[in-house]
Amino acid sequence: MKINNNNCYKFFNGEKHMVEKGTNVLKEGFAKMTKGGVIMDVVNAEQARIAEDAGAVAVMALEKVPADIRAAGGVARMADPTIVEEVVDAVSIPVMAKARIGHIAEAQILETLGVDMIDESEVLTPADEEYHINKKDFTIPFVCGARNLGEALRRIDEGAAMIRTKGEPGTGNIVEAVRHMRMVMGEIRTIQGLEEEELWKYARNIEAPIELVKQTAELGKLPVVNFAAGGIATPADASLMMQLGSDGIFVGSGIFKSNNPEAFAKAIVEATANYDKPEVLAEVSKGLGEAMKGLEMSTLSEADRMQDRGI
Amino acid sequence: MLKIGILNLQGAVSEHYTITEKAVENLKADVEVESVRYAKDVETCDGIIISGGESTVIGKLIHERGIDKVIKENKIPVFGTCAGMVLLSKKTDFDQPLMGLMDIEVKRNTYGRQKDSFEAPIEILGQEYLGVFIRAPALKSYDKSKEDIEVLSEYDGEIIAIKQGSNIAISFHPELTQDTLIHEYFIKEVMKNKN
Repeated sequence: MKINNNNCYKFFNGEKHMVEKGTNVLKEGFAKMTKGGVIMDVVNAEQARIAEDAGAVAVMALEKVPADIRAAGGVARMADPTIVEEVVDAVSIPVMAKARIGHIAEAQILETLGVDMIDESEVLTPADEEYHINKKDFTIPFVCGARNLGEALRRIDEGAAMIRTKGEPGTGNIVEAVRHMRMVMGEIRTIQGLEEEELWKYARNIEAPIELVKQTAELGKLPVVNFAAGGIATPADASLMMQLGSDGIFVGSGIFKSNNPEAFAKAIVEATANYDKPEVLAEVSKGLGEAMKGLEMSTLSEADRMQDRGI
Repeated sequence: MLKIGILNLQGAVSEHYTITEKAVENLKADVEVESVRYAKDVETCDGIIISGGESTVIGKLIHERGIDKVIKENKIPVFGTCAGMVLLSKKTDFDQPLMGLMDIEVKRNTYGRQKDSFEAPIEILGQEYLGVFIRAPALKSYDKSKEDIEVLSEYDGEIIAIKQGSNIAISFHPELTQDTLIHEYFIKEVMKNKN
């Protein structure tokens, strides 16, 4: 919240404070407004409306859900702008969309289309194996995936306003999202107990900026909103991730790859809002029909692991 | 001892909690701040704060959990920011559950999408204030026949803050600043209401 202080400080010391757009307060603030909510992947206006009716806080417009991207193979790119526009026009809630890692032009196109937040996502085939997008160059905020604290803080340093676990997208298997959330939370607990000189070394080891490491240690949490993503398929999965400390939930294939998308969408929203009430979870989990089939991690070849992209 | 409840359903709840505690400290008031999620907890509060977030989502939960009923029955003052303003209104441009506690009509996303979100200096309660507007709503109209309605702030031709009785609706986000001005004002209103 350093930036907030600076802005107020500037303003209340009588300096001229102009109307500003694209500030960190606005970018990180947008992410804060999604806390406690569910963000759902959708591929058309009809799905977007189902998501909104079910109580999604935002939708992610894309061409194929991750499970279908996985099945289709080939290069996965930003969605066709027609799909993005269709979704933007269909709902009153915010719309996000995915750009390839490092693909500055895709991100610029999405910003122009009126998307509210960009997911620089490992679900799509990376465009740049060395560098992520300089997210500070954009007016709208970005969310990025991370498997551990080092990745999370590097992305924040590049300007990400929100972090999510990578998990293993399109698998319907929660195991990797759990691993990533536990890893980040565990590392935060570790740095909270470190002396300053130990923090310097820790920051070097995880290849993260020392200022962000210190800030995270002081806050006891990431300096931006932290969601769970990648493999959430059931209401119980959503509750599990919330109990592990997620600020909210991204559901990709879990809803529209299930037998009954309306029911699954509603149930996952209910489960996120009532994550600490097992009796509600039991109720909303009843008679949902089959969840998406899901993949066991050992069946994935190294090339199929999306989480290893863009570290 | 008074109790202010921060409605913890969805959105920027922890930010409101922090700034409300700071406001209480500044006022040296005998006020307890509590995060509340269910009707039975809301019922014990003397004032409720509704955060920014998605008004469709928060509204649905308020309704399902019977929180609107408890607030109306007990006439608990409500301070709503952004989505909270939408929920306090009687009508919006979208079909969604509302509490309708104030005789106001609100237009959601008045200023456009996230790329149009902005920070700007505004004036409220006789002071300069940093307005943080995120996909913000503004007032479309209010019932001018109601004597207890008072416009608190306007910006660029739009009404961005309004009060009716002890209820306050504002379209921006004080919880994303460090400035406790409006929170202190609400706490004082709650105290007045209690007396």
